[in-house]
Amino acid sequence: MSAHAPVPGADTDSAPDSAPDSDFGSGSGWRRLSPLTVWAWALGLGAVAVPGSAAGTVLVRLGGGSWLWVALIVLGAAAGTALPTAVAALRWSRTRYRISGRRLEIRTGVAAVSYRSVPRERIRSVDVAVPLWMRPLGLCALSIGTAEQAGSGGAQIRLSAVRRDEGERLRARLLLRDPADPAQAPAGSAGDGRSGAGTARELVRLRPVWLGYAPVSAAAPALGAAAVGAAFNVLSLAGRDRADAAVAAVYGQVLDRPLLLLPGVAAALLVGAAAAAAVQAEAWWGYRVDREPDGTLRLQRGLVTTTSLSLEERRLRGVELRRALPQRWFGAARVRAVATGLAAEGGRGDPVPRNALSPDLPHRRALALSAAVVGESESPAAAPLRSHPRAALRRRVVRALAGTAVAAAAGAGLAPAAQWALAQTPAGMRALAEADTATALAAGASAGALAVGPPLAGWAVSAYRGLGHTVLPGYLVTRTGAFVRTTVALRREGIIGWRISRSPFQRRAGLATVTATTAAGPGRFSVPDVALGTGLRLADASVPGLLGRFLVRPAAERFTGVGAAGSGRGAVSAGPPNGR
Amino acid sequence: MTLTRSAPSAPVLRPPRHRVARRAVAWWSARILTLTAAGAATPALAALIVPATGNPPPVLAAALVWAAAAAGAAGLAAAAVVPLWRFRVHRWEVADTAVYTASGWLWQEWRVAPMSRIQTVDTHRGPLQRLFGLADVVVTTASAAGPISIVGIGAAQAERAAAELTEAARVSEGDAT
Repeated sequence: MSAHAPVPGADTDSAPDSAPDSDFGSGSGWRRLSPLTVWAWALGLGAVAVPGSAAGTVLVRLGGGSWLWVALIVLGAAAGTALPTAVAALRWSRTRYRISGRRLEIRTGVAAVSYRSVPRERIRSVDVAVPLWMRPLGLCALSIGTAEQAGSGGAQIRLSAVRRDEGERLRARLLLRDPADPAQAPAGSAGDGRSGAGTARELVRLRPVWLGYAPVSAAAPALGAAAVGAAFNVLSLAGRDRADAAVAAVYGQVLDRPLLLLPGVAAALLVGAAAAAAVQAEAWWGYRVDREPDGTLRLQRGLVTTTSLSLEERRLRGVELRRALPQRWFGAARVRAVATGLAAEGGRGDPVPRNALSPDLPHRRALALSAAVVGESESPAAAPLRSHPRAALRRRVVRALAGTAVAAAAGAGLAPAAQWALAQTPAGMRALAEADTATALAAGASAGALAVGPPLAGWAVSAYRGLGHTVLPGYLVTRTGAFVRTTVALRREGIIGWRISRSPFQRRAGLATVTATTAAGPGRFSVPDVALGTGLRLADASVPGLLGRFLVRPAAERFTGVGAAGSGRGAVSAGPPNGR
Repeated sequence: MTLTRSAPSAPVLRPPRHRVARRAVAWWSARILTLTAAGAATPALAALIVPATGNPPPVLAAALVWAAAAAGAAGLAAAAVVPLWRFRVHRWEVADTAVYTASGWLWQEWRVAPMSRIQTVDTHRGPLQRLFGLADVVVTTASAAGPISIVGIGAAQAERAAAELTEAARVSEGDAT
């Protein structure tokens, strides 16, 4: 690798980054990322290396080591600082970007040089993040979501780091279309008449009380368990044997007095709840959603790493309301965006998915926010939904029963092992073990079934009650899920196709899974286990003229009208068109 | 294969207009038989080799032979049933406003995409398909939910359908999301 590259330009204020914004958007205005990142690398690594090598020197001299060792330590520290800095500098010096006309162009790469050119109209979202270390330097990192990214995951464009004001300018610049630019979205989509001049309108702002929902989230027990694991790790720093001894002591105590387990679990849950609240506070502090005058929704949040996501409203295809089980008990819900170019994956190490529009909110507020986001007076996610036929419940119950049967079989299989284990225990239990094998098998089977059956039955009923669908003017609304109940209101113009799928069991039960495909979010939203006729009517009503031309309506319906026929039993005939 | 549970009041999805090529049955059979041969040959070869390696438990050799036989029988049965079944289900149609396909055999699926949302049209011919003079037409939209495939139609027909679809996709405006 050639010698250190940071020298040219790194310390000159005439670097293009700080040049005035005169030729921005025209001709040849290639710009660089902020050179401060290179200095940040150098300073950060130096802050570790200098005291480290000093301490090393002192230790080596005290220990009677030779000056050779000192030289090695100092050299190592210097190399450890210089090499990453040099790489950062090289990367910085080889990265250029510009907005020229309708494209964003980026050249980058040290070993493999890459050039990307993205039409601005394909840019769907711009994410401005300010991690803690960038804050004093006045920098920010941009990640840019494009249309191609939907579903394909990865390929996000990142610019890290640029000056804060430059980041703001890029954000506005990348999302603001030229007035002459013809709208690419289908007619009647979001943003009509909304992108005039004016000031930002606040849709929602954090109330710290809402962070109180965090401890009852599913993350709390997980974090509690993680805390226990971390405590054990800390313990094992004191020596493997001592850690094992401590664990054995705790285990012995618990065996003697099982009731001790209760306060222990409670303590772990408390720690987990506190950690969940802290994570939530870090992610959502300063949360607010604004409707910007340029037709974008802007979400800002974050305590340590402040994040700002700008989402073009024209790309919004709907809104999603999620209610996980513990939150449902406490009346909470969270809102997510359904938009093209906005996948659900979180950023790097960000616990919040990119399409999240809110933390846990009171249900009423979540509905209000979802209505405001899509620009309706009433949330489409609040519409009363049609429930699914009983056959859908039957399917779920059958699945639960099958699960129970498997558990019972597994239990019966484990029964002899349990019998053997009991035989090893003190005399009181041995009588149990001497019971004959058939009894043991029966006991094992019923234990397995008992352990798994009720939760599975609960799941079956909950999953069935979660099912629902309706067609509103403008929206297709579907609801699914047992543990996390998700209501999706998808704009009907956003539907770019249908899939109707039927398993053999569904065909027997007269059911089908009707799936709307879309460019937004995960790319598909399903109405599972709907009566075939109802599902076809739903698809036909949602996108008139698409599926309708392939439907054969029986004579009865032509007279009674679409809404009147409720039985919903139907068939997809695979014979010739007139061969029913 | 008309299902009988149809209530008089429910709309019915009529099948797409065109069947796939008759040769597709042979192609599907060939594909299943190829897989079967590979699947049965592995344990069969192992059954031949294992006794040579010294003193294996007799159960092992027997199990291998049985595995080969089971794989072969299952493959033959599938080759006899599945392709014909698929042929009865698989259908396709390019209407003036939409492309419409039916596919599957046990798990069946009907897909519709409007012409205006088509992004790319590809034709695809595998080596085995070339042998039978067949091709697939794959139509992708902006959805991540997977493309619409017309599988196993005659190569010339596939060319015509692809040309027609490409023309329709070219005419429509916008980025089709």
